[in-house]
Amino acid sequence: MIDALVQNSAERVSRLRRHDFVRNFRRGLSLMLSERTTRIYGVFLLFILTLGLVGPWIAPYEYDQRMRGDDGGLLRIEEPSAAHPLGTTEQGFDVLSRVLYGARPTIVAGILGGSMIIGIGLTIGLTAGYVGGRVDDVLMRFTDLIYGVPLIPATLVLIALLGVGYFQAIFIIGALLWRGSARVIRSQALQIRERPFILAAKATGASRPYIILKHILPNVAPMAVLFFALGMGYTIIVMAALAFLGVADPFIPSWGVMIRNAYNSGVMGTAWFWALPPGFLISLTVLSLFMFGRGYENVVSGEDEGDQALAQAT
Amino acid sequence: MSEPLLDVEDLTIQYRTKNGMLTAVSDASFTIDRGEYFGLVGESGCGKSTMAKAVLGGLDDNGEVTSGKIRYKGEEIQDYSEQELNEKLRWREVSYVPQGSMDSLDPLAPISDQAWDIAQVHTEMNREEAIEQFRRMFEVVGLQESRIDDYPHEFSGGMQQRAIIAISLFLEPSLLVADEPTTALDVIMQDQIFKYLDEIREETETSMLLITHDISVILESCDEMAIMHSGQVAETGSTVDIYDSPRHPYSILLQEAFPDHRRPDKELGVIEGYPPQTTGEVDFCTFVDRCPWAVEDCWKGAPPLEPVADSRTDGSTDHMAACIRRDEVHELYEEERSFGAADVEGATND
Amino acid sequence: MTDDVLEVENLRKHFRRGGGVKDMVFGRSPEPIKAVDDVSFALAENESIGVIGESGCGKSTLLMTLMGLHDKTGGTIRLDGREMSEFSRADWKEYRRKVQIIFQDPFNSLDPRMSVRSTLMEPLNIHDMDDKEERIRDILEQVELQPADQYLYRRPKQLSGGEKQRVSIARALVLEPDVLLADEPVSMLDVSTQASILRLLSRLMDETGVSMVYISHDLSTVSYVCDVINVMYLGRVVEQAPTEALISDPQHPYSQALMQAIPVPNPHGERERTEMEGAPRDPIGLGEGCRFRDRCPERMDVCDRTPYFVDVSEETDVEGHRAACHLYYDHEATDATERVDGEPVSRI
Repeated sequence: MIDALVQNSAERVSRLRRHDFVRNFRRGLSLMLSERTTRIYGVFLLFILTLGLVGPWIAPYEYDQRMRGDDGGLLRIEEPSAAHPLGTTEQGFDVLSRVLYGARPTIVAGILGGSMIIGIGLTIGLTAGYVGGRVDDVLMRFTDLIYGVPLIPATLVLIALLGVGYFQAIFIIGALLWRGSARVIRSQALQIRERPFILAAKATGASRPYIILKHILPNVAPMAVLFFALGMGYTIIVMAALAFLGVADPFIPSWGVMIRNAYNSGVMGTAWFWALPPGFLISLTVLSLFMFGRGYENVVSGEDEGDQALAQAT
Repeated sequence: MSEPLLDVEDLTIQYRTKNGMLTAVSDASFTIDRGEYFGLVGESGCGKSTMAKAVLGGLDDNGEVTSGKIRYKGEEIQDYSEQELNEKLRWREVSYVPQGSMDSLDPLAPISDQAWDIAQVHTEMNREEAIEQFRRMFEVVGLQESRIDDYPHEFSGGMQQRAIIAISLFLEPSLLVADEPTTALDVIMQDQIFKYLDEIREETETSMLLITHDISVILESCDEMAIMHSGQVAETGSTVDIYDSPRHPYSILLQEAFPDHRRPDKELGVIEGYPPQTTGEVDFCTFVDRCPWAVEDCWKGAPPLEPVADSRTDGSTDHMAACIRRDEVHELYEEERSFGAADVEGATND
Repeated sequence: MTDDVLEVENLRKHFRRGGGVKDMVFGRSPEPIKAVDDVSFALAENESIGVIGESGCGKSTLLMTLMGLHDKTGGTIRLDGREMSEFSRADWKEYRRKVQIIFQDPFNSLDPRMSVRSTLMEPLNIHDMDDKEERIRDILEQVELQPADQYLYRRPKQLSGGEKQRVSIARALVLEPDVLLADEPVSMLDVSTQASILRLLSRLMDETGVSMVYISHDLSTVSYVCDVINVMYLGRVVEQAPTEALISDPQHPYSQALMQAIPVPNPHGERERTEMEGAPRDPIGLGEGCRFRDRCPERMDVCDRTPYFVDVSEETDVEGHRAACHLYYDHEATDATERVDGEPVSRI
């Protein structure tokens, strides 16, 4: 009986492995690992992600724990030392710990914002591209409208309306930045729509939503991954910008907030160990996201075109 | 016999790819004489387009001639620099008609301007002379002279292709390389174009290297031809010889597979398998897995292109085949045919 | 007539164009592109009809309209007697099972992200058929992709051009349709593969009894699989005949020019080059009259009137041979041009 169970589960696993989605995913993964650019930046991202996950646990101190010296006095703006490898802030907090704690809110913001951007972008892009006609016109005019809205000023206005807050800020960013992805995905959908296999599905009686979900979406996936990565990057940058402008929630210790605090204290020039680490990490994260996204999209779509071109070239 | 216009000798062309050196052409040899129309036929992956590009020095960036020679009017050209190619060869000596004319003409300039641009770069003529010569060529290809200042979009597809032929011929090159010049066109247009190509052959000494997958066009319009398979030249000779007595298994089977509209009941031959993609040195016959008459030795070295015994014409043309069994295969084939065993039913794996 | 699987009568498909400034000023809508204009034919059970013509003749539009992927502008299409404009949702579902299509381009006919199994499963799921796994295996065997197991989980990338077309054919046939619409399925394949696919189609027609409409610009492949051939020119059928008859004794001047221009794989041949000049006009503003008259070597004055589609069996001694040409009927006997919806009409 055990044998039968083992047999069954083995079969189920192999069937799962052969499922289209899984195979596409694995192929994407192996392509990612094969290219040098995506590999390197992928590793950085993994590192950053790990920081986000385990940051608070490996931090030597609490993020709001004031460091006191032997004499009981507050250790303000201390240079890096053995006890505090990245020094301390003006409030006496350990910079390293704050950096480690700060990873999580920064990354979470990126993920939430990126998801919202790609979510709205895909919905609008696919619908406009595939359905076409009136619907396309209306959706694209709407997109144009959002394009016309200048990002930071509009964000400030909306924050004034909705109030300063971590989630509010992410929501506003997501609600504005989907515009770029929608356009591009729409044009991809337009192209894919004309390909014979779509016509074949229609000819068999497939419904519109079915075709969009089962045929168009998987084929725009590489582009979607790219815009997800870009969306995450932009969200992180704009969150940091908002923090710097002073309209972010100061109680959530993201990296952007750290830079703001360093700036506020007036010692940013001399206390390099305070502002530099978070600034560097934001840059690294966003760069990795952009490069990874681009590289991924390049490699995956390049593969598809490459085969066809090679077959026809000789 | 005067020296040939184009002499390709043991040419090997490879592409640098992620998976190694992809061999597009392997030890290929053939010659084209002056005033001769030469057809190069083969299926996808056989290397014919690569060959065309190599003659013009237009290989893609990752392609290179790794061995062998291309001689034009006696001079080796396979290693010419871009500058040498432009000064000595392109347009004036060797010109090119590509597939899909629409992409080759600048939509923003009148045709006469485009012809003048080329004449400027490659010759010493002034504009009047160039336009005059172009006008004459326009007429030869059956287009109205008065229309030389029209824009490309004002012509139909077939006429655009003819305009391109006019452009490629007006500087009177000795060799015209045409890569699938009529594949994108309808059959009546194709015939119109070949009518003019026939006339051009009568009136000038221009040679043509015609590359196509359509063997009927070559059999009708060319004097000599070569059949390629997976980078190797399988057979060369006059079109008459190759039609009357094909000696390479691929030549035989390819002609069998070609539908003929005059005989709709003809049993179409099937060639099993598909042309292999080869990397590195090719030291076997690429047709071996598809050949019904293959033997062990076919794996032991690339078969050399050698003259065929007992050619039915008067022997003045070089009828050659790259097959170690070239002198027996046609007999075997005749036998099989008369026993009706040439068909292979059942599982195919094309 | 009533046991014909598919009946097409006076089918029209016109495309509206965006107007130019002049049209706006004068308040008129511009002339439509009459891609398919008054096409009629009947497809019997297990019959295969070919449609040939040069690019721009409307054959692809015809196919797409038959498939219901374009809305027809006029005329009727009947499947088993029921007319398309009267289709209910259920009728459409039925139509989409009974009429299937195969496309020309093997590289784009299959979803690159789906395995062979998924591609074949899709139509079965949409139409909720039973025994799906079995049907898939059977059809793979029928299209000679064996052993089926090896092919089930392959992606299009891992298939050759010929194999991809076989999967397309399998996808079309897995629903056991009555009619197969084929858009030049072999023109993008190598010659050696063409032969095997053409033979497969022939065999499948024999085995399943399906009917086929096969369009192409290449007469040699059409003649291999079709019993009857229609020649189209600028949206109209100019000649209709059994294959042999059309090839050996074409009646319409255009068909004659076409047959004459096809290259023959024979260097000893004495084929003469075409005398035909020019190219087909744009299918815009064609008005009345024979559309071939500007290039026709036999042009007469009466050709400014649209010709009837008449029986020329007397000339050729072949049944079912028809041509739309003024050369073939007595003009005293027939009167003014018959019209339907203000358009001249051809009668079968």
